[in-house]
Amino acid sequence: MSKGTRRIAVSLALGLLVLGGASAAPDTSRSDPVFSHPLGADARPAMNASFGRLSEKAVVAGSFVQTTRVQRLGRNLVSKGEFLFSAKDGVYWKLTSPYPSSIVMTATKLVQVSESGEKSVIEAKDNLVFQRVAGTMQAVFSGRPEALEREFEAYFQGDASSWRLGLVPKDKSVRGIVASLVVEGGDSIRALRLNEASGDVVTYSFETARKADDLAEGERGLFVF
Amino acid sequence: MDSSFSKAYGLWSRTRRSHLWAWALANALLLAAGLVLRPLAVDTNIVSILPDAGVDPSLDAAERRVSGASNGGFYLLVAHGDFETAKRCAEEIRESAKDHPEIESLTLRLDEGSYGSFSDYLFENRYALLPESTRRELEEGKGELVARASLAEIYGPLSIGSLDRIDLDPFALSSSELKSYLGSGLLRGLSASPKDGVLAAEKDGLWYVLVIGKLKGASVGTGGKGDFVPALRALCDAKAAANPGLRVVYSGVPFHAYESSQSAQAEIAAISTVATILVLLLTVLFLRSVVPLVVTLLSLLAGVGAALASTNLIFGQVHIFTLLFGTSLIGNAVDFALLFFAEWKNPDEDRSGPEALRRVLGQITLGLATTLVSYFALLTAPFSLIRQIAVFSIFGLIGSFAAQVLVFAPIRSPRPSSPAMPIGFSRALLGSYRRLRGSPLALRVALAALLAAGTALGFSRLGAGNDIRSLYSVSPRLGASEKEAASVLGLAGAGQYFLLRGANEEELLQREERLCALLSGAEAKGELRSHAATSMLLPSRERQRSSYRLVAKELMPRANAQMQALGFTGVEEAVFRADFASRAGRELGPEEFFAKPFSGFMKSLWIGRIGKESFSAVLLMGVKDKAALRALGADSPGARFVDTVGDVSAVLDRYSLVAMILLVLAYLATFAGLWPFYGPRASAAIVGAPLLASVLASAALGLLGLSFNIFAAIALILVVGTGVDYAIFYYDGAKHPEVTAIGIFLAMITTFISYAALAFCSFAPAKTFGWVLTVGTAASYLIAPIAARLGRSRKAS
Repeated sequence: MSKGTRRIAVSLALGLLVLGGASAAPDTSRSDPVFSHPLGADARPAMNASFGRLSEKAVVAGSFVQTTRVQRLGRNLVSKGEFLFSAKDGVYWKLTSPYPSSIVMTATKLVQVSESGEKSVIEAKDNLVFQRVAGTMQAVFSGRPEALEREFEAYFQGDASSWRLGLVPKDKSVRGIVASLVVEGGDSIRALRLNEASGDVVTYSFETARKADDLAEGERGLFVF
Repeated sequence: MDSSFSKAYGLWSRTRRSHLWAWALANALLLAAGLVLRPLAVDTNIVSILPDAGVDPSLDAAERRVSGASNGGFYLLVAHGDFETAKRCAEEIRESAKDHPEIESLTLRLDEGSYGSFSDYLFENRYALLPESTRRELEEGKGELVARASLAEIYGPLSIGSLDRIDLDPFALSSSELKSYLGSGLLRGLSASPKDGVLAAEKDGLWYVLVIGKLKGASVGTGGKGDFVPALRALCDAKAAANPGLRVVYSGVPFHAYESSQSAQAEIAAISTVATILVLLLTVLFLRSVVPLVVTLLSLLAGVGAALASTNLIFGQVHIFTLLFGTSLIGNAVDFALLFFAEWKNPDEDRSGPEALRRVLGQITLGLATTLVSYFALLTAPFSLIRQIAVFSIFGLIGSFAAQVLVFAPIRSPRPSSPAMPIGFSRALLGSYRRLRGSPLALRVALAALLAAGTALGFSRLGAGNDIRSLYSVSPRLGASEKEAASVLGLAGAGQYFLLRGANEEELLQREERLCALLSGAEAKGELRSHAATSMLLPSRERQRSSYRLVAKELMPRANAQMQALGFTGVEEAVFRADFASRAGRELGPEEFFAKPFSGFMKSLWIGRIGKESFSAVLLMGVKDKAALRALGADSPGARFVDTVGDVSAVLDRYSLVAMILLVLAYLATFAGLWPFYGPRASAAIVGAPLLASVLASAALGLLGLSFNIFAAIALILVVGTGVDYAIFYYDGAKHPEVTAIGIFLAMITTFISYAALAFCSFAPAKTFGWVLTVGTAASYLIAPIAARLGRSRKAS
């Protein structure tokens, strides 16, 4: 029976994983012009140079504006906040308006902290989909094209001073959440657009204020739970 | 005694003309009923030998449904360093195996339709499915906090769930519910996730692609009665040979069932063959004639036929382990024929068959009766396999006895030229006892002291207990496979769960909810990692109603502000309010829930109605503190903590105690049965032989490093019959001790061979059973002449 019980456990848990891993919506189009430029040998030096500049500093901090376009309602939801990226620790997002909250994504956890300070934790370490989302964020901010190319079909347009990178997940399961991404940058990331499988589009516009080799003393605690 | 058996012999003699017909008719009827009208079915299901927990028939039935639902399931992990190769091979294996007649389902690709179905379910039932944390906040009057948290969720980065329907779900309740399930302890420790349309895990540089299978009901727990497991292994081996670096990891009861039934079948064949050949050789060697050989074989066949037919008739099938234990019958069943033929070859008496029978009828009838007493005692054991073995043995012994007495006894005398029996052998044997009696007292005391010291040492090392994990030894290949699968899937050990019962489905779900609240507390204290219950996705109607009321009281007054915060107008707010109002009184029940395509994984936990009650299981994972959970179950109405290994082991411990009581009763019944024939002192001496042999056999288990368990206790019951037989044969054969000694020696050695073969069997229960009987039989044989002499001298005195 112990074996038998374990069978149920696996079915049950894997079933929930599947259900939690994706939503049911058609793939969004790849209308952005960058998707006309598959990454080839000719564009690779420019992409490497661009990402080389991103990876010079391990810590990047600044502000962001997030615009969520809800397709079905034809409505934009706009919020603002600050971000802190650490190549080693993860990404910290602090929403300042209209409703304060924060979210931290590390390699193993997704932690949301509400206005009242209450935390809700989702263990990402055992969920491949979460791991990939976290890994993608890390790879984008830390300028690691090889990590991105493992998981995405890459498209590239521009040069080191101004470039656009299009990414389409190779994995069907990930495409069930994010149909494609477009990253814009120069010295640092300027914008990130997520085309969700549901048709909604989330755009982040970044304003980099600080680059550093390591986190400041007071910042380390943000990634510890 | 003589007059009783003289009368019996007289009856036999007067009716001998009708014996063959009567025997043939009885056998024909039995074989027709047991093997022709009801074709022989051999059950190879290893799971079915486990006893029920034996507390409550309904709970036992519920437990069987839980295990039955899961025992047919199995997993294949197709592993390769390259994900694409692993996935391709998994697809090819699935494609080739899916149409096997024993397969009910074989799944590789994820059902993407269930994604939307689940999402819709959460949205449609967002008021009924409020997460516990949200309910708690609303109960505490923190509606404002919940409302603001939902706005932060909607506006926040990396929001969970879709925002498509926030006009009808402005408090983002469906997102909260999804987050609650994703954050539930259920997922902790799991390593497989969706990847490219399949479930996969990466570990130590290997990609594992998961294939989930289920056998059809008829094949559950047996590994398939046909060729499913070997066919699957052959397919996977071929795939591995064609794709270097590819490995397939197997996990599931069907693989264990197949391996154990295969090894049991091979061992039965080997044990039966070796035992039969040795018995036949010894028969020819000692009786110096092929007539006893043929007759012994025929009476044995008659016994086995009667045993199979009656067992199949009574139980509807014969378990493979009954056949395994039943092979020991070979040794017992031939005893009657061997005693008869030893007398048939007696050079000093009339050697006609009827005369030989007249001389041994008393011995073999009492021998049969005392052996049957042991097996009848086993019939009362609350363990179906033991009862089946008892029925098999009772009918096998009676069938063999009947064939010998009714069919073969009227045999003609052996030819005068027939070679004599090796009387010198038995003279030497009996002479050794005389020499021992005549040896110096110091030597006898030293021998007795040595025996006592060995016995004491054995008992000092003897452990007692029934841990079912020790009863089945998995093969190294399958063991390694299971270990790897557990490591990859991250689900080591989950043998515990709660069974819940309720007068109806509503009471059952309410009880689940109360238990789950306690389990969440236990998780916080680290007593377990996580749990899963139907009520997590299907709350009780009472809870659905109270959740709706909480939303109405705490959130709806904030609807206007919430809709404005999201930029909606009064028209959209009116639509939202109308939608909320329309959902009042709408309740979700099991019938609707289990019709959803994603509910399949919960069906294994929902047992449903048994008798007048409803049952369900709450699955526990990563149990750290069984005692705490057991106590928690005791405090929860209708809940019972099930620890399969612990519970079955405890049941076997109880049954061991029952077997020991049966053992005492068997001795008392045998003693009482012998008293009218032999008187109290001789009867005491006769039963003393197996009693002392049992002590030695138990001590031998300690010396062999084996535990005293239920199977040892049962074997001791059988030692009573065997040991008493030998003592009776010696006691009654005093007129022709050398002839009797040959018959008893043959009876002992054939029995000994059968039991010794069991002792070397790989199936742990058969090993313990075999060792106790081997030592018990040998010791009974060695003690029997001493007991018979003591009995006689006391009778003389």
